[in-house]
Amino acid sequence: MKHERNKVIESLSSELSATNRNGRVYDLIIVWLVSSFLLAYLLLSSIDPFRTGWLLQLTTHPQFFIESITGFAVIMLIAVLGFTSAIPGLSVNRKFLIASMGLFLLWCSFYIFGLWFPALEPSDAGKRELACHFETLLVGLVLLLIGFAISKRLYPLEGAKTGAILGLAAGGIPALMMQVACMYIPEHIIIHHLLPVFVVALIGAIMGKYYLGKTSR
Amino acid sequence: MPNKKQNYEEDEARWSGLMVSAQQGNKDAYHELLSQLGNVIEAYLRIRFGNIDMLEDCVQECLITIHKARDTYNPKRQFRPWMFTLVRHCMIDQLRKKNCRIRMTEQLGEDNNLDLHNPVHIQRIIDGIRVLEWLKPDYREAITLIKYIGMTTNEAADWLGISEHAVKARLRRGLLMIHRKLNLEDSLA
Repeated sequence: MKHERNKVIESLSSELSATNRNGRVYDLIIVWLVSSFLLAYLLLSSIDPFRTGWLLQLTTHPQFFIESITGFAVIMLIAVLGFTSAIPGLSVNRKFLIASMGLFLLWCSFYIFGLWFPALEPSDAGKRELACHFETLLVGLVLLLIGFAISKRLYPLEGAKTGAILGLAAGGIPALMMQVACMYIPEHIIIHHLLPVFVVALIGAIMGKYYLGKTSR
Repeated sequence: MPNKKQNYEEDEARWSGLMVSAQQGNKDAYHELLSQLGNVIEAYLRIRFGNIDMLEDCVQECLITIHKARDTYNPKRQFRPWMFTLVRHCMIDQLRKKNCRIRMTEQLGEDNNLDLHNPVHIQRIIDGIRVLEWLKPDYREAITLIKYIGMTTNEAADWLGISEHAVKARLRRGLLMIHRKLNLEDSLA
């Protein structure tokens, strides 16, 4: 038996090659975030132009700015959670986890609050030709697949969990962009921008189980 | 006499150092590391799962898993949590396989003398196997009968007088409980 083990060890040692990855993950997270935001912008702006005057709205409406910046921060944190979950044995700081989930709930609750106190005057200015929930879903799935390709380079042990978290981040990026690309009506945002985020997360969980999980190895 | 904490720290430093060398392409260091880890993993699994005949296969699978995941080890973090996370997942994966039967290397006087209706015989299989001692009686029964004795789920269902669906549910929950207990045990270590 030990002889067979020695043969395995000999074989594994002989095929060893140097690596420069050394468990680093934050460089991959930055690459994914930057490329995802760029790609989402390119895809969404190629379908329809962004809402006129969105930059001015960000600078003149504090509540709108806070909503947007919170969404941005949430996506950063969830991306970190997603990719670090693909490193074996890397336990996430509990405070970080609570802060991330808390901020995510806060971001969603801004739009519920906005049903009574909207950040901008509700208007259908910026209404997109193609159904925006479809755009959010499609772009989210593209970003999710890129996230999967990157996280496969790590060693995710819980594919469904990693897939779900990456799905939240991937869906969140186009949803956040719709904040400035689509019309600002809180009910519309909840149904057509936020809900697709959870759909992408669900798809991420299901795909992650088979594509990222142990069954894929 | 070196204390436990000193041994722990020495092992940690040694394995981390060997893995860093391996990540730089040092095959001798990697060979040494895998040889040491093989013995550690064997002892770890034997204590928890007993003297099972698939122990060596599991050890080799764990070493292969460590090899595949070696890029994910960061020298700034501890080696043990990284390694044992891989070992635990690998072992649970093996147990979850439908055709996995982890028979004891020393059966009670060979199979034809094993009296499944004698609780003393069953208890002798369970005694000393840590993972079984962790479980609720229902889950322990299911895992002992199917994984250690080698019954099919259908046979276990007949033996227990319950549906096959219920046996599968107990088996699934039992394996999940083992996984959680292993995680908890290692996080408290």
